[in-house]
Amino acid sequence: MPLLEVHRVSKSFEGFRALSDVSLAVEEGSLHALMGPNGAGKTTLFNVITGRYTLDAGRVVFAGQDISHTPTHRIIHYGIGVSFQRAIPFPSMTVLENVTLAVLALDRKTRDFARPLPSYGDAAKRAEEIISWVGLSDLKRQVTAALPQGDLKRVDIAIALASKPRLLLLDEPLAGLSRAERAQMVSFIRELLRSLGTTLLFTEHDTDAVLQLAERIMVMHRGSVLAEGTPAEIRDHPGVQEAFLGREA
Amino acid sequence: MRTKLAVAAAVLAVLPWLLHDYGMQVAIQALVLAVFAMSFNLLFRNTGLLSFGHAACFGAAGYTTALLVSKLRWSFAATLPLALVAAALVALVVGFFSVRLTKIYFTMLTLAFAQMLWAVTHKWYGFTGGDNGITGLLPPGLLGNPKGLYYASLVALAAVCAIIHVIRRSPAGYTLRAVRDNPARAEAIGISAFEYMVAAFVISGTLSGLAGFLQVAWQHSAFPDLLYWTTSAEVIIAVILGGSAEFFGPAIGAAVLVVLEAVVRSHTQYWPLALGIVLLAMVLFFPSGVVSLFQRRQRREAPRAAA
Repeated sequence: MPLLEVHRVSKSFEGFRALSDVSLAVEEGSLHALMGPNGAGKTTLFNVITGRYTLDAGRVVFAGQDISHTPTHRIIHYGIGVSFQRAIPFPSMTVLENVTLAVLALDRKTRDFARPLPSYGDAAKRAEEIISWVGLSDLKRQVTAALPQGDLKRVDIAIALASKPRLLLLDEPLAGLSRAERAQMVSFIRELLRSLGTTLLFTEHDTDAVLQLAERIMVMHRGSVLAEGTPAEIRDHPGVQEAFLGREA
Repeated sequence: MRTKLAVAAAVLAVLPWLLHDYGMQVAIQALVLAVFAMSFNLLFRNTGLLSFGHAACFGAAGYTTALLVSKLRWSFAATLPLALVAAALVALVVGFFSVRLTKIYFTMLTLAFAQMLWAVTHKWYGFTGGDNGITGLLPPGLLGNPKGLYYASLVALAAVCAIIHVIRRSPAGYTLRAVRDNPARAEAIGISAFEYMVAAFVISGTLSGLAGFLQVAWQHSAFPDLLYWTTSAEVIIAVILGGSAEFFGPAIGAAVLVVLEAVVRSHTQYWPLALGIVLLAMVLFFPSGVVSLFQRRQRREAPRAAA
């Protein structure tokens, strides 16, 4: 049974069909990519999975449980973490506070109005481990508002990891990064999968990066699924070549 | 910061021994507005929600006290718990419906709620006395004499500041900031933005009720004005004057506003005009408030002192 199953999902906005009849299955432990040009429906699909948008038709099943109409703030407790396309974590807080808060939120300890946050030693310790894992230990006391985009993405991923997700959704992890930062991020994502065993579903419109990184790829075009398969199958798929690869080559 | 706070506390503690009758009235009014402004800013600063309906909580508490004292002959101080409960309930209802909306829509809905409450109070002669208000509420004992009421208000202000300080440092305080900073991100780590915004609204409204209680004790009466939009506007003006980003900004803004009004009114009848000019100058030239004005000068002087 796949870890995440999106079953014939449709979503319209005021007559515009953003998703029509989209199905997707993500196996546990895989590195799965959603590919397609801007406006293909990748981010909409993410928002449907995480409950930010209510779906018009279809079902989303995670680890055997129907989460189709689950509000966003409950999704993490099922084990789905998200890192956003425009990574702006909580800019008024330090890196450590950002990640500590995510640790506390997972443990449902944020309802405490009295005890000071710094006194939560265990949460801070876990947060520091994650921060060191993403390579930001030197910056942990920095307020995130001042950090460059590449570091912000790492902070955002650290926040997502603090929630111990079984499935991590990464929306355009490479967007806005320099060439050097992109290479770093690609190896970082590989490492993530290898050492944490987190299942990854990510979107990306850079075709080369996707073909290099992903184990399975779903190609979307104008809200529908155009093709699904391994990178080799996708590369040779006539429809895909026509839609993007041919044009970009 | 610690020394500054100690000096301020010392000055506030001896102030009643230096002021004459009118000065005491101004000082008490400033303290009450300071309690209200700090409470209001708990919501505004930590969640970014600009309520134009805090008069509803302020007035609900004030009227609860006035009604219990005048109709049921309760002692003044004994009404405080129920006054706070009334403020909390009003805050819960207004907050529950309003925080779903954002920005101007939130602000307008809070205003609408408060105006509704004002209209009912204003017209319901049989119960609230309508626009005749409830008068002749002379609190006995401590709250009845100016010095006693001054110190009670000072203690209330200190308590509200302490509560806000504790909340700000707590996980819930950070969570409120997270919701303000990036609601989508906050939801994705498992935080219900709605729940926390309502909680902040209720705490802010309840503490505003404390100010409403003190206001009625000070003016020995309750009038529909307590619930009118001008009361909501006054607290917003105090916060803008003082600066919402600074912890004590709202309290300082409240003091500046009340003292300024007393001074201007003793010389001219054009207080609203003067207020307009001051506000215009503040918003145009010193948008971060009076406190920042002082700090900027300090910063500029610091390097010179070092050289």
